[in-house]
Amino acid sequence: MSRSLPPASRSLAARNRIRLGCALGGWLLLVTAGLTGAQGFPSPAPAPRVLSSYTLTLRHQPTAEAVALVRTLLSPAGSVEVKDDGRTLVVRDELAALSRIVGALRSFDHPAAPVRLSVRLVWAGSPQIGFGGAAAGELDPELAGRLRRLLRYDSFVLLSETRLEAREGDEVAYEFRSGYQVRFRLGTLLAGQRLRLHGFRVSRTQPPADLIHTTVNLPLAQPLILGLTRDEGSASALLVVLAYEPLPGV
Amino acid sequence: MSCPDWQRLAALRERDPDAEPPGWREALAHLDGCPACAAAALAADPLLVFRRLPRPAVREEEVAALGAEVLALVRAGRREARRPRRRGFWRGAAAAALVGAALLLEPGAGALRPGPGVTVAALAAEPAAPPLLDGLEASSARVYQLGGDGLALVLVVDASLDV
Repeated sequence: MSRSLPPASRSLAARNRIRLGCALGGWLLLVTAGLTGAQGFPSPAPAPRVLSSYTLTLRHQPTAEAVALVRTLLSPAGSVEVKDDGRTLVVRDELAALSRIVGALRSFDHPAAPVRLSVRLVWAGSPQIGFGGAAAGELDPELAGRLRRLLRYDSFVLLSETRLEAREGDEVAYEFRSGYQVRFRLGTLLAGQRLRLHGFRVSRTQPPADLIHTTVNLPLAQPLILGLTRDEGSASALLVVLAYEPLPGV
Repeated sequence: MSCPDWQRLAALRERDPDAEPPGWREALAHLDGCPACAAAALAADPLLVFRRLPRPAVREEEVAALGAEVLALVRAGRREARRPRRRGFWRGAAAAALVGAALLLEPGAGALRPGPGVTVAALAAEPAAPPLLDGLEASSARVYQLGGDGLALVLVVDASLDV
């Protein structure tokens, strides 16, 4: 015997089924959440960092420069230590960083390489004031044109020029006839792309006066122009134009 | 009261939003009863349309609580970013392979040598380029580093320079 319910009762039954479904779903949700909590799924913690170490005894290049190079490549978790012999580095870091450091150190620790340096002293000013001293020659017109585009000066006079051959680690001092002296110690060629000039000093000989004392990172691809002037609106400046090229045997 | 100069009042309030320019309260009272001023006032300062909204005071504790919530969200975001992922394993394996390859390729370590077109140097990343001048011994100097046109140029400006 089939039993038929009035429409109002059918609607009530449907609503009850929905309520029951919701209650069951909510209960399942609560039970799942409770089980998850009980089984202890903590919020994910950072994975512990695994450090590896690499040891290298330097054969050719200065330890201080090697340490400085390594420091630029270390990850925040890494460290570098120099052993008692003063020539052995112990680097600890994550594998990714260590792989970079190993390659860089091998490239760094090469026998002292010869380089050719070019040093030019240039007076820069405006044609109105003119240069009163003795010029050593004409500045390369292409370089003068590029300087004109970068600086506010129109006139460039070559005061002195020299080309020096030296090896990494050599002390270099050169006195120009124009009354200036340049001195520095050649650092290590970094991947053949950059050369550090330590204790780079430009001074005037008459009357004696130090003009600048710094460390220069000389790029290979382009000359470095070091401009010295009293203030931004000064009518003239002294430019030191530095360039280098590695000689065969690197 | 005659219609106030809304442009001037708005300009004064823009200069210092916390300050009340002279005649501001009177102007607002006038605005409520002067339909002619409504357009001029709103054109000068459209925010005047909200002038009747209540301004609930915010206590310092509420500001601190809000700040703490934002901080917690930022920290949670960082934790999420640090979560180990499956790719971490492959990254670790790739790095281990690179170190292993670099160690094996050391001269004298074995017969394995880089193949044509493959060099260890290619695997090693270059350190970041250092500044052209490092450690200038002149505290009063101003240093400008310019570049371009195939030149690297550093201009050192110091009143004590006698060039």
